[in-house]
Amino acid sequence: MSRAAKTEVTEVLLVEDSPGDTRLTLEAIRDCDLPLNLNVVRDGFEAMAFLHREGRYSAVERPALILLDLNLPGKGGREVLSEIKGDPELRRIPVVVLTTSQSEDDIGLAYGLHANCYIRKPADTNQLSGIVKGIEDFWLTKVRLPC
Amino acid sequence: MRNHRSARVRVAGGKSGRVAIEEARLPADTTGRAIAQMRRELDVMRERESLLKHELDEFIRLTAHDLHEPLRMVSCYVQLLERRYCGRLDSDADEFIQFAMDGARRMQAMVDGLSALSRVTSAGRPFRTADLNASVQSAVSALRPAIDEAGAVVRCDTLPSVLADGAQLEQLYHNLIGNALRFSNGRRPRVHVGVENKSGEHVFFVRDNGIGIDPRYAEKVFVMFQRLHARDEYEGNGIGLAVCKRIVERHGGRIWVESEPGKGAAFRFTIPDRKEGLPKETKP
Repeated sequence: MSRAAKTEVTEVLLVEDSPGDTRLTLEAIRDCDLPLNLNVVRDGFEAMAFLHREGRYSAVERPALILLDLNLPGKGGREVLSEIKGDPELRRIPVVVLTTSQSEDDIGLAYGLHANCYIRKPADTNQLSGIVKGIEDFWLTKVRLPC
Repeated sequence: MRNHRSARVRVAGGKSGRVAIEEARLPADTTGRAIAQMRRELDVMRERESLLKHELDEFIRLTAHDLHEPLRMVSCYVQLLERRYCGRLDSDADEFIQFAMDGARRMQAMVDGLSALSRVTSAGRPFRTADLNASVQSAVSALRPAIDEAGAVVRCDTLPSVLADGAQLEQLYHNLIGNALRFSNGRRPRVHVGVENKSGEHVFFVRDNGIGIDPRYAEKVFVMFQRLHARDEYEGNGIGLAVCKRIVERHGGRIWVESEPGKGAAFRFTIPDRKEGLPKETKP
């Protein structure tokens, strides 16, 4: 669903266990002044509960986009990805794998599990801002998503 | 059992005399057994060496991987500090932030270098017939901006094809030619890429007219993180030649440098012609 107006805020789910990384993503959104509301969960179980609107997430809005780290405690990112893409409802939500791994195996595996794209977390805040802005611009502005 | 024999020998000084020669007389099967035993010991040693190499590779890979995360946090947050607070505290604070930024950048380059080093073995591809001319051309294309900026002349002779990992040979040439451009002494860099045939072996070379290397440091340049020059004099993370050495060694060859200060340097390496078999990989 493309946004009707730029002023509308889009819900994004960030699945990330590192508070340092979460804050960097928030700062990048703030730096670029993007109309995104970042919902943060710290492991795979929380992520699935959020997406299925279970327990304390019963009232949340379904996110338009998921940013997924692969290395998570408990239920890992690969499992989360495979569950999302195995669910007829959830699989419509684009999943951006945002991770530190540059292993070809991880990249192959992520696309094999139908990740929508794979991005390596940069070690530079300007690059991170560029990536976050790019994700917003492409997935949430240019791309037409199903309602 | 000992068998004493004597022989007439002429020793230095012109004196001659009879010298007892002690010879171990071993029955043929004993000799065979001794050789077999030595072969077994050699195999065990080779096995151990290969295991140690593998462990070292793993250590480098894990170190680079595990350092990457905390370092990324330091780099990013120091950058944020700089972006938001530079000029807003005082001049001491600004200076401290700059030193921290510089340290983080250098460490980043080192960790990236370690990853590059470990990828030589962990991400190496199988050996196939590789056209070295193509490897050199790709390396030169990638270096084109630096070549143009330096006004350098790169001369490439026709090279043979070898059984190798073509992508790694491209990286090898990229690092060697890149080095030749960097250590240029302010003169217009002239780089010659070629091959010589020495006693039936191809010896490949990348020769330049740059600042050269003191022969005392000819070995040291291939060691990880060794720098011969101040950081602000010549850029680099001290890993390029270590990667070159690893690549050549993975192919079972040798690499060395011949140079004198002020007279340019010639990096030479061999890639054995392997029709009969490939060197054993340390990868399990």
